Amino acid sequence: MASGVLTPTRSEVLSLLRSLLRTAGDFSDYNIREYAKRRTIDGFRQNRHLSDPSTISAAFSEAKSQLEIAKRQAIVYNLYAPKAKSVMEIKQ
Amino acid sequence: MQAVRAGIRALRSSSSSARCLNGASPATFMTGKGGGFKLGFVAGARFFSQSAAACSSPSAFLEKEEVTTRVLDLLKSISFVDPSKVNPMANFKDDLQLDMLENVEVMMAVEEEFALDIPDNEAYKISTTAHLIDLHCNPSTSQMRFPKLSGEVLFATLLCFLAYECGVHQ
Repeated sequence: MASGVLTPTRSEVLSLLRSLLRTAGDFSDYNIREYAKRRTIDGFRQNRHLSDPSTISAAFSEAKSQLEIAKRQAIVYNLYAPKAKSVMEIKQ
Repeated sequence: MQAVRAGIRALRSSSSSARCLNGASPATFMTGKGGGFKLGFVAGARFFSQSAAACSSPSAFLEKEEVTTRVLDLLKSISFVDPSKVNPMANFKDDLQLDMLENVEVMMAVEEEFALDIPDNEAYKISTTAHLIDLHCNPSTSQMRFPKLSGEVLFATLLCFLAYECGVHQ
């Protein structure tokens, strides 16, 4: 289920990272939001030094599917977001 | 009536600097309806001005001093950035040793802090602290956008208003 013959370019990967981080920021729940941001950064960092085109494509398409999931879930969570904010979000 | 005007003014000031259509349409929609809808609109306006105050700044220009301090503080607070090397002339790649991923993280932190939306092509051009500071002082290069919350707030405001209107007509 690779993303096709072409490996993603650097700018495509970076814009995927930005979309993931933006979508992660859309969550209303503090925990999920922070986890999503952490996980994307860790995931991209882990795969930083890949050189084989097929593994790169596989990682890219996996990230893309995660992006779709995150987008859907952000919408669903926001439908019934609780009014009380997490204690971590109280500004000092 | 003053509450209505204050509400409209708050909407106008917050929407005039934003280029998104979200901000413009409710202002025109509400001024289109005349009449004395006090309670519903006040509740809605208060709601809206709260969110306008909550997002970092409705004005297009921030003072350069303030921008510089905020940007530097932001950079220092990021975990992988060495605070001693942060200065207005720092180059991200050479001085701070940020790679591409860290660059993107810095961009996201900046977007969050200043409630801006930096498009991809501009984000890649930003390589020094000076660029970041200029970004905020120059409204044509950046697009101000309200935090995503505002869509729901707008909707809620419109609902209050409509509910009140329907209730009032006797």
